[in-house]
Amino acid sequence: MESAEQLRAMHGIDEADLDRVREYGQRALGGLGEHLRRFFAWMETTPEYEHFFGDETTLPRVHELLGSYWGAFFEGQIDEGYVAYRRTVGEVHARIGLPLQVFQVAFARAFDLWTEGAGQGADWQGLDAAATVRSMGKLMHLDMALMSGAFVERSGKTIAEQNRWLMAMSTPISVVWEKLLLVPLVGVVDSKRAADVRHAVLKKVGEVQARVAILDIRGIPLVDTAVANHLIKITKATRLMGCESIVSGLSPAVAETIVELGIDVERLMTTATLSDALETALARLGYAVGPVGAVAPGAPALAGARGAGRDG
Amino acid sequence: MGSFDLSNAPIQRFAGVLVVTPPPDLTGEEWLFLRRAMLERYRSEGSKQVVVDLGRVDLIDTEACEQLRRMARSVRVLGGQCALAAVQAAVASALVDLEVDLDGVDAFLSTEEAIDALGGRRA
Repeated sequence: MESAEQLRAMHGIDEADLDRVREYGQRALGGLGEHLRRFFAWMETTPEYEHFFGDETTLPRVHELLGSYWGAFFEGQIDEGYVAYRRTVGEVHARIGLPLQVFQVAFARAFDLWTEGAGQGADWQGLDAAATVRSMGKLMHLDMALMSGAFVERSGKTIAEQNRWLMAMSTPISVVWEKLLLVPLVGVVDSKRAADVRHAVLKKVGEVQARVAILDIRGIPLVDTAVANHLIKITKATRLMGCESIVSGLSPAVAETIVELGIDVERLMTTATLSDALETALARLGYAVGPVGAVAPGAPALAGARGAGRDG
Repeated sequence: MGSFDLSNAPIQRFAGVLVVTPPPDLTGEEWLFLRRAMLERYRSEGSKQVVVDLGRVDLIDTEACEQLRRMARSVRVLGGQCALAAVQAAVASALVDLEVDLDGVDAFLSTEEAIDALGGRRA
């Protein structure tokens, strides 16, 4: 990340620019109250105003923050503290969810309000108005670059966090019995999602030393060759770790599609229902499932009371 | 890791089953040495079951995958059985992505389990 010195050089801001900004600032800051009044009068006409600034407690705080913002602007001291301050302003606006375009338009409007009367009135007396506006413009561009950069960076982080949460929510892997995983798959399974699911399932298999994983695909709207290949890859990978996978929840329509597309699912263990898959999985783990009293003598039973399984 | 000679290769025998434990970060050449060492022990000790314990291998490249496939294949060609044990998630993923043909090679969660299973088959 560039230093304050480098940023100044990049934006072509020299001492004369900062002197002009300071000089105008000393005169103009007296009218800060009027500036903010006009700025908020404009803001009220925007569709976002009510949502972001409609709260009575928010408005005085925003007034105060904008006062500090312009105070720092007209101080004309571009150092590391100034850079950090501008980046924080960008980040804060990204965090509250203000659209970047609205944020940029608002600062452009505020800049207009400072400069629209350039050359007229007492504030501009004796100043080179064109040069002063140009110098303020350079500083404003620096501010916008810093604030927008931080804004985009923060938004990117937020999106990445949301994706992680979404992934965690969309693949809730449960250990439903000792060494038995249940992975309900819901929604579209594309290459990225399939890779994420595979990663999550394999990690869980390693963590809990699972012997069987049930991939329940009832919630997948479309099973085509690509989805089937993703499922085959997941099952192959779990098998290499010593964990058999069962794909459950195949609807008759999905079964028909698989046959029509000629997808080779011979090496996939599939069942129509989740209960069939559970029964198969528990049998693999050495348990028999049945009504109380109906389980064969000697078999580890899930009928009312759990017997000692192969792993237990 | 430096090259090792055939006499100190990480191969042990438990209950009549040869257990090969590849160290992490083996080069292709070292995999080749390990395979040769394993085949030598297989021949000299008359073992018919081999377990490759991949518990210490957390990454695997194309060359290592190929050497692993050849290791399993050579045991099968000699009429024996080869199984994988303690395969880590990243390694399992890589083996699938690189389409390494390990059909017919059983895999187990742990080496103990593999020894039990293969030893049982022999009996």
